Amino acid sequence: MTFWEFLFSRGDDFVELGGQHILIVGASLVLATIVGVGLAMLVYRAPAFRELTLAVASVIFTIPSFALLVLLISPLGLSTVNVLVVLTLYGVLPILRNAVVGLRGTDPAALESAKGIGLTPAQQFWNVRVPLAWPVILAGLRVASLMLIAIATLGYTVLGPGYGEFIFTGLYRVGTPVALNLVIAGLLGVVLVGVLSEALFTILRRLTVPQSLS
Amino acid sequence: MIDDALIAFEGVTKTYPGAGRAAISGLDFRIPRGAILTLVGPSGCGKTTTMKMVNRLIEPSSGRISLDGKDVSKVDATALRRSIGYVIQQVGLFPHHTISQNVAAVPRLLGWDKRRTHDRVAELLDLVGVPMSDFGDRYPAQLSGGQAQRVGVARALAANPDVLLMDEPFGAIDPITRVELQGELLRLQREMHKTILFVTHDIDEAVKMGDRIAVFDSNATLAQYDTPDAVLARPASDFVRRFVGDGAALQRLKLRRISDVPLVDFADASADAPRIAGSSTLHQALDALLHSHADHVVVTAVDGGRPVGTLSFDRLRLALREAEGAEREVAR
Repeated sequence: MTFWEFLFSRGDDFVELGGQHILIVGASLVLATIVGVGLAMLVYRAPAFRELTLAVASVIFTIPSFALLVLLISPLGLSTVNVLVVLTLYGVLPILRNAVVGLRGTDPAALESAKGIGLTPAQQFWNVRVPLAWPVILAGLRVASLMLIAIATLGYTVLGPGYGEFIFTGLYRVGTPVALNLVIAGLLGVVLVGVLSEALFTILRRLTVPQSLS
Repeated sequence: MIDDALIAFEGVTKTYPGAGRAAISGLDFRIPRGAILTLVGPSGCGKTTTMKMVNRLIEPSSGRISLDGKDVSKVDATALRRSIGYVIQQVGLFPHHTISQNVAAVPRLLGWDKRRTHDRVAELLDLVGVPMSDFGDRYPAQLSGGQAQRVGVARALAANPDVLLMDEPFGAIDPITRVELQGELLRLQREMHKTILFVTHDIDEAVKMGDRIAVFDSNATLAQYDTPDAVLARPASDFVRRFVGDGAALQRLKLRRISDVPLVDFADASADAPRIAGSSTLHQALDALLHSHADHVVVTAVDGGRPVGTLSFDRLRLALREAEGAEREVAR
């Protein structure tokens, strides 16, 4: 059986796993954004808290994802929730770091004039600081998304959703004719989701970042 | 004059927490309505601090600043700032907003309707020479430094404030454009009659732009508050004399037009004497004299080439002395 024949025969699975993959990455990306951007807004002006938060996020980031999934089996079991938590934790660092850099990097002259012409502190933040930081924040989301798409495949070790199922099933069946097809199908799926993510973020950037900032 | 003061500083000082000495102290002066006050001095003298206390970007440690009789510390800071134009050296246009949106910033904060805002923005962009039809939809990054600061001035004027604060507005602009912008601000001011605080470190600019000059000493006090001519003619201290530097008399010649001084009848005018319009400054007359072999220039009528009199070296010197006398009269 050629790869394409295999893929055609497993077409329904391929689409279903793709949907799961996108959902789990999408959900964890949303959570990681809320946590990462939220934390960044809280700490960007306080050097001590900022460094501490970044350090904690970095430490979490250095834990091998496989180990973290296994570690969380005892509290969360073999479940989608386990994967969701792990992906969220991994997504926080790039999002947090970019958001901090973006929020701190706002043109001081624009901020001074904003204050000087009478924007309230909230308006200075939401109308000037956030829009100017947005391209950098968005770049963080984009990187995080790609990263989570790759890491999500490991989620199958705790019976999580997505293309990990193809890849790991292939690994368990090494030596059988179907093994290589399974792994390649998994990889193809992951790459397609990755391309989709890039396309989405390119469109999002076009729509939300004024030309003058790009 | 004093009764018509728009802004008054009364015993104002500012000391930053933890700083050894005051950033500025002993500020007691009044700015007449419709006047340009230039604040000039070396860096760290407190001139910018003084300016920023007017719109409460900096709060004084003691003393009182009033605007139109009202203590500014009693006015909501945000509302106060919306009623005062603000221009800074780095311009600080919002890079993510178009030129039109930038100028519309304060009217939008004040809740003006769309039509009124649009008309005002169009009017102002025309006024500062960056017409809306060509530039309105562009972004700040697409403008030259000079154009950006013109937009900065338009933004400050948008809600028609009585007071403008300008912090070295032309300090980062090339010399040729700077002279152009200085001239245009003075031209605008002849129609607008705003009360302007204009911070600069350049005494020449302070003399050119100011109806009054506040010279700040490097020890963070106000060294002299006077008309440009008086500061040049009678520096109040050695510091001011040094700061004004050489050429105070030459500077003073720039402040006066030929048509302001009595001329000698031109019957005796020599044929090779240079001709100069009465609207020129005494400085330009001196320049013409120095370039010629004659000992006087022939002054022509402002509205045509008809000679109306002559002006000699001696007359120039006398004009400066008379100006000083007149100043003293006024002071008394």
